[in-house]
Amino acid sequence: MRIPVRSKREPGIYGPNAVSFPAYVTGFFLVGMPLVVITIFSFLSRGDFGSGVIRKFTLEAYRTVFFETDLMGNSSFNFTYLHIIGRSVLLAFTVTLICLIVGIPTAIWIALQKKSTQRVLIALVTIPFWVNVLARTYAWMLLLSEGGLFDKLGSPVLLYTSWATFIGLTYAFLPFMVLPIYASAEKLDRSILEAAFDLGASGWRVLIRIVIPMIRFGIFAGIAIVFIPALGAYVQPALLGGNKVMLIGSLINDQFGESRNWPVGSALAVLLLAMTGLILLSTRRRKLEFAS
Amino acid sequence: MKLDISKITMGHRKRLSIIGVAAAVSLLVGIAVPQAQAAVGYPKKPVGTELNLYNWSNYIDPALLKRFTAETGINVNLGVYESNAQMLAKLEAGARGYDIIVPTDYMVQIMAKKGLLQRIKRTTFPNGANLKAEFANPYFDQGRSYTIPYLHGLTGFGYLKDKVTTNPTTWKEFFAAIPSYPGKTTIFDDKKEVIDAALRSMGYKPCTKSVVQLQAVQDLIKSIKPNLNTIASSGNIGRLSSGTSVLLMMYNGATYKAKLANPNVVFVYPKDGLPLWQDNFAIPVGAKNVDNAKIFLNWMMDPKNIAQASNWAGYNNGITGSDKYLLDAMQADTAFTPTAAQMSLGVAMAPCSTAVNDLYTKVWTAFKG
Repeated sequence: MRIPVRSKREPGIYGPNAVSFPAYVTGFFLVGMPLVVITIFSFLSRGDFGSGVIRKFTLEAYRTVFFETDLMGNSSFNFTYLHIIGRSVLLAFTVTLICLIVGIPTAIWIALQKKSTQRVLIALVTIPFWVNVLARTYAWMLLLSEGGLFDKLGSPVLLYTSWATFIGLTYAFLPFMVLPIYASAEKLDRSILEAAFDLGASGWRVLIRIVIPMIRFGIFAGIAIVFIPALGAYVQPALLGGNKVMLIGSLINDQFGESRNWPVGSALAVLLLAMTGLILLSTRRRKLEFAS
Repeated sequence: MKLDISKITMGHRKRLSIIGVAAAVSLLVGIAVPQAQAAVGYPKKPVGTELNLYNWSNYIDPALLKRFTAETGINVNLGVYESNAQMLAKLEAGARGYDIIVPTDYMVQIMAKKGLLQRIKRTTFPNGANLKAEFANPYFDQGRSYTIPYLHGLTGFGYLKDKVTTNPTTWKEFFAAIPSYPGKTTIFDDKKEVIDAALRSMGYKPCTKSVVQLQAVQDLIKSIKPNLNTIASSGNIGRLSSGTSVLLMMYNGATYKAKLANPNVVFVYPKDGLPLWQDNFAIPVGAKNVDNAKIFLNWMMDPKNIAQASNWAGYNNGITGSDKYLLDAMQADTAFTPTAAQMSLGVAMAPCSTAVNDLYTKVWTAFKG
């Protein structure tokens, strides 16, 4: 079957077909259904001894998230969870931004190399995936600790600071930014770039007016797959950051675990999902603006 | 890492959501309380060769399991978890196929009340009577009808005597000393352990309902937070022996291990009281190899076998006659073998009510903020 050239750059405009059926089945069972269960849980009551749920409808979980009764019994709007969510968003945003700043030039540079060199460089980018993320995070702990490599090189001891969290997260997510951007940069038609240079455009202008718009789908994909997991980051803040601030990931984990409050954990997950959905929707709108 | 985005198109969405609701409802029904099974006596021989053990990670000597297989012909498949809550959540979500689990004291009580544990009729076991008196009748399983004891320990604190010279002996002195060692102190990432310790440091009782007392706890732990390097329940053996932390909340057994690497390590049984936690073997409802599980429980009540577990893990056990098989170094070290006076400071760690647990969560969330 001949695939129209346009479909390469604008996937999805031909709608679902039989080939995508396995993807829908996977998405339904592994993503859709758990989300439905979580949403239902968020409207149920806590089980006996606090764990699990019992089938009795209540808005208690959402009330707990938005309003608090402090230790002294005063009820007020609850900023604690919003504060935690806000901090997580800020962290994810910053990590995404740094990944963009480092990832875009890296990806474009790789795409401009010889084909054989590209293959080697991409293999290098993916090498970290051969080792479990936990093991790599422990490696960073050794590097950043007192007496570690960075300490010996004269850097202040960063372990158990927010800087360590940033370093660990950026390190972990950078490949996820580089790979999709590379995938679209690699398809760049070089004759267009040459034409632009021939017409007198500066290098900077070519980058802003031609290269970036042409690789925008790769950039959007990179933003999505860095920002969303970074929002739920758990390992790096716990191990590198010293576990001293609460983030949305550990907050939800705690609700299902030690705090034994599944409905509140579910409600927080639903809120996080709604926020992530809004963010994705806004990038989709921007995508349309770009396309038109 | 917790969320992903489904890409279901408009046309499919409605149909799929109906199936989704149906599936979710059936899942909810599946979580309904399982029925308890009748207790039966000790088996004459193994049935099949399988046994599925669901244990804390890194909590049983692999050589011990190999010897069990060699002596009984039963293969042990080991699954691991990191917290009681994780194990409970998995069983409550309907996981079947685990024959033995290792719940901590308070979790035994919760699981027994929820009908998740089988009665084991310990008295029919050949080794069934080998219980130290102080572990034969715990609050969470009076008469031991659901569990047999595995290992136990106490949560106190450890320090390096060449770095910390004030010789702290109480929780009060522990918390007071923290600001003197900024960036060199650690407490557990465990709200119950930390809040209970802080309550004891001020002369209050764990599981208090008093918001005034809890407010005082919140103020105390928030005030010491800037001096902590990390809030962590694991990795503390290395932290203490390497000097990354010089004063930290520790289990006695972990401190014993740290002491092997650094002779300056000291373990303190705080005079204002400390929790005694006890891990136990139990057979969950839904276990497939109940007979093999009972053979394992009985085998672990053999003094020589449980002593090997203690020697490997660094924690003492509740089986009579096991002391003579313990390593000499362990018997000589009070971090491993507390004196009677030290042991008497230990109070069995009991769970707080859900209402108090919620108050603890508030304090902890404000602390972690």
